[in-house]
Amino acid sequence: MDTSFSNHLPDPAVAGIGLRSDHYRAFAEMQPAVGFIEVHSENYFGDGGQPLAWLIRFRLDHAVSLHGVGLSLGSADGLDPRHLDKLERLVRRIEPALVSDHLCWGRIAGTHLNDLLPLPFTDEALAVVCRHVDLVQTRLKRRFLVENVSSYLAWQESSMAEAEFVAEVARRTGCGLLVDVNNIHVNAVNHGLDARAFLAALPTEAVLEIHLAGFSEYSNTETNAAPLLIDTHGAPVADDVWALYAEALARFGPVPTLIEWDTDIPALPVLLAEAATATRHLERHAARRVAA
Amino acid sequence: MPLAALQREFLAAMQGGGGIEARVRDTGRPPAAAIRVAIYRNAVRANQRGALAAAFPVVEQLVGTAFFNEAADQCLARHPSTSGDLHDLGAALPGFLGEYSPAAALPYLGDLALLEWALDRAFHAADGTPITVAALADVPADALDRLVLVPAPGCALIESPWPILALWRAHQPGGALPDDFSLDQGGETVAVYREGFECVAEALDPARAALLSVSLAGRPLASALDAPAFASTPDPGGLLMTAMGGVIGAGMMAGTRLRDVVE
Repeated sequence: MDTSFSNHLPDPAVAGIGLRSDHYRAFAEMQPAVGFIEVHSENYFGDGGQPLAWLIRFRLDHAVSLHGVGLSLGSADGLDPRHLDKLERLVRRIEPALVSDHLCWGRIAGTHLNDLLPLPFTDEALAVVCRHVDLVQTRLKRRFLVENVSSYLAWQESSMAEAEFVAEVARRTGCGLLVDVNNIHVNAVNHGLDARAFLAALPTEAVLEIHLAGFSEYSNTETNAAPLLIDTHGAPVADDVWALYAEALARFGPVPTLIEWDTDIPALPVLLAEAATATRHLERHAARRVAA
Repeated sequence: MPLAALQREFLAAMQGGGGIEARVRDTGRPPAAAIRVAIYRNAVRANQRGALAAAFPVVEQLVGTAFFNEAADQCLARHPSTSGDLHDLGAALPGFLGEYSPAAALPYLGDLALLEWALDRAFHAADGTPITVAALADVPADALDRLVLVPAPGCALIESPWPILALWRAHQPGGALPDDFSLDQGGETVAVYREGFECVAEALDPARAALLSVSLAGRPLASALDAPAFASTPDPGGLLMTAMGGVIGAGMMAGTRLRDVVE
């Protein structure tokens, strides 16, 4: 492809949005001032067609983050070379500002479960993930970002805390971290973790992007006990998550922040209003820094 | 437990096996391990069903969501997903539906699914500019019998004994079956191709269908003359020219090449 892009970088002072096909047309018409846009890499793995044409059009005016869901960095039997080939082709086509995927697994024995599945936090899993992140960074010739995921179970095998695992991946591979503040909150509730301690365990230098999203509650009718939180990306950001986000900004500084909304997708203005709330947090953080 | 063993056991659990609950840490907080595992089983299923429903919307409309989900689950059990890109999921569904006994009352379902899958592939196919008939002007007359038309990316042909295009069109927004529609009205041979970014499904007459068929197989266009459509006409060459003008004019062809004599 001979499209020539200017070198857009995310504006860390203005939040971005996850852009889904429902909003292509509205986004093109409104041309909202967002810090950057993020798309799911796999939606543009095709040889051509309309989705890729939209993305190229948006890339002309915006910094783009390619966010994958299917690389399966934690698979014991290796990365799928076809997937990496397609990601590399897309990175060459789009020249994104950021490229990321999740700290999870999805594929084993040739079968893909197409979900973000929890890893055991063990030395073995850490070595597997780091080997794969090294491979990806070598192949893409750039710093890759990995995101902490929500989980609904923890493995007996785990020998370290999730935050320690996440931090160690960044330290060993030099990769960046995409800190999903909502996922930290969800896991704090689901597993009884300390969300603030999670943030404190992460290497500040590595934090290059923040995700915010909404969750839903899995109603436990049998026990009436504390609910399990499910990371649906289908609701507004919760108050607890905004509070945790403010703490993340205090700790990591102004980091490009993104609102994700993937199910029950609202009209674009609703999504932009959530992004505007995140931008106000970024502004307050900047004002405090100037005052200090 | 080694990572590979844990992941294989989890895969088995997602496919209905038991035992993985014993590996789940008891945090002393509800819900129980079995429910936590079931949340993943449901999520995996929902993601994969959702991907299939997105690729086969008319099949889902025809059979209803519950029937579709059951068929999808059974198809996935036999043909598990192998790609981290959910757009790759679906190649096996048309063949599966064609032999799925609960759908026996809808004998056209497999072919209709083939049509939807072809449209889905065309949607993501490479972009390009189709040739016009002017591209044939430079072909030497003595090379015409070796001339191969190269279909554009995403171009496909579905031959069915059922009126699948009429059924498909009836399930598009604002669509309806023609008043005189009958399932037994005869089959349709449908070409799928791109017009710009739009995916088009169009019924072909037997001559154009034969030409597209040999072209998709990489055979010279002259070999279409062996098809029954050309046996019954007094002017096969004229019919072939008309068919060629039809498929090229519609934008189904991306290029031409000359097949080697030794090929």
